Amino acid sequence: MSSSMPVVIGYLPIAFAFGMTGVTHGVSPEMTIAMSAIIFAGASQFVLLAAISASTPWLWVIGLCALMDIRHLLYGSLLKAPLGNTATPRKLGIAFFLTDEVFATALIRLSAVNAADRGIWMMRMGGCSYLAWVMGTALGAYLGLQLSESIPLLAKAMPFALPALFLILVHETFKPGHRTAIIAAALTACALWAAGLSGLALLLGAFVGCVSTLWGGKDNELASE
Amino acid sequence: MSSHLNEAWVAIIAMGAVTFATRALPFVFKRNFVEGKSPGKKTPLNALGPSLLAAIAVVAIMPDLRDAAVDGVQPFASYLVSLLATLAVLRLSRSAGLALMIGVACYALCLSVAGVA
Repeated sequence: MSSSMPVVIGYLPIAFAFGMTGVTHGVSPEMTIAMSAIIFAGASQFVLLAAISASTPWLWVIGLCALMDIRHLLYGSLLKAPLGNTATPRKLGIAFFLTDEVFATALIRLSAVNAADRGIWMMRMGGCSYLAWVMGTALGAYLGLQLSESIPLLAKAMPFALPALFLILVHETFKPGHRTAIIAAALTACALWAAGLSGLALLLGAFVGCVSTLWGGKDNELASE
Repeated sequence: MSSHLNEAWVAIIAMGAVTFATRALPFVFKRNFVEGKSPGKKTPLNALGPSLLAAIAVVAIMPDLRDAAVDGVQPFASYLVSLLATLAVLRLSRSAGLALMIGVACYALCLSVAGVA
């Protein structure tokens, strides 16, 4: 259980912020909690909220999240070998809990767990993280609204959680080898947003970021190989 | 309204299914996704996550910055200072949750001091 504590502590305030942001964006508490219970992917859920606010078509949003979720294919690929003795149904259960934070914790600590116990260890760690995420969302969705009614300043400040979270996620995923890609993606997205093409800004920004990795330079992990 | 709500539920369930599928597929298939036939080899796809998040951050932050600039110097400065405070706390504490909470608290404080809220 102690292995999940850092994830649980990290999740509670973000989930609370998500729950509160959801209701302040006009989404019902039930639907906000369902998003956490069914999707269990912070970035995708905040993208969905942003899309609801911007009235972005659903198919675009789902396509966008599928693009973001491509990184999960790597997570499963890397954990497949350490979880080799685990039965497939249990692996599928583990897969449901495989967020960025759960994956990162597993990658660091799984090798210290007995091979036979790794499946149940992952289920417990992922399960605790999931409960923290859903409970934090519920607290934010119900108490957050009351707080925002009694403290209007809080309601005005809470939407800041969304851009701040994306800034944090960019920082968290940053590696020196991705500097060129991140700058190229950000500049492309900024130019397209300024031109009034926000929907294209995300997709083309990501595309240009990937293509830029083929460009030379010391800050480019492909070119510097 | 009802149709809009139904669409929202469909989107949530579809997004949940897509998320679970990307997490579960590597455990179902023998093929190693992303690395393909050359394990360890870096491809442009490795930069997809960071690139997409950077693009999303720009699209999430820029409209707020523009609106804050229209409102005046103080709201604009409040927003910028709070973004920098979020990054500073993240670098010092390495805790995303703490950085988020302090960033929002800093924004609330700046708005309050500036008399915006």
